[in-house]
Amino acid sequence: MLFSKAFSDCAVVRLAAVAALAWPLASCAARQVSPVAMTQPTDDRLTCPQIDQEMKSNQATAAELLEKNKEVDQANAAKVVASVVLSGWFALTVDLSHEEQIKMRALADRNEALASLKTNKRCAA
Amino acid sequence: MTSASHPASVASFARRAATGIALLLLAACATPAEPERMAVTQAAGAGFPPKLQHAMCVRNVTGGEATNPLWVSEVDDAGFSEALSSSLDSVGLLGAQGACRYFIDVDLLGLSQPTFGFTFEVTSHANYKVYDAAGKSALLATIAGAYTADFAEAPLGSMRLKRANEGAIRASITQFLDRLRTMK
Repeated sequence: MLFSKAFSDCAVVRLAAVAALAWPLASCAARQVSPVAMTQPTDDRLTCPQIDQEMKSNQATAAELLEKNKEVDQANAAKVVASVVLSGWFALTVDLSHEEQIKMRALADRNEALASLKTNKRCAA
Repeated sequence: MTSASHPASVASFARRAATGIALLLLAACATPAEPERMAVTQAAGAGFPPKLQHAMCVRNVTGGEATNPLWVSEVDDAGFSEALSSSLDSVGLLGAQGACRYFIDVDLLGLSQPTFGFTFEVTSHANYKVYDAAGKSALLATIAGAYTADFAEAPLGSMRLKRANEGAIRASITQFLDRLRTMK
């Protein structure tokens, strides 16, 4: 009687532990990334100075993202080494969302589209 | 059991275990996304502007990544280009070499992948740029395509991620074809 109670308690604890472990595993997803679109509905209404301003702002943001992307790459490399040397669990913390890279490339394409818009609007170079 | 047979059985078990681990490691090696699994098949000519039919060519694909077998599955430029060309061909938009009136450049911005999980949801981000023969942009589209691969689709994690990547690219190409249908 005592044995069966201890066994059932143990089973409950095990089930709870498995459920606790499975929950984050089942619900973990990549971060949502929202890159800037190449074209915007309001593009036709942009003036030449506004286009220049947006291009400058995009360049500055892209430079920041480049730095962040380097940091993420370095952190990922360190986590991979730690997962090999210390514990495989470190590999689970590697960031594969590529958020900075995606946003950075999207900004470059947006600036390309803005440059084309500048030409079409005959803005000064 | 004799004392002589015991070490032999341990050695045999160790050999089998090592073989098993080696096979598991090999099975877990990442392979690149397959073009035929990324391609979209739809009814030819379904709702596309006549000017696009047999007039489009894939010119440049950039931003793809080669797959490191020891890391995770990726989509490379050549594989994507093949999948897109095949999709255009299936709907009757692909033009013969030298007879193209519209050129498609694609910038694969990247794949947002999860690190682990029972289900893998991957979102592909890509910029599709369509230019006419004069070099004027006819369509600039930023498209995000998502796909979730579950455990039943591929029990092995590396394969599940690969299937999710392929599905995400399929979703992206499907949306691109939808955008072409509404092109003026």
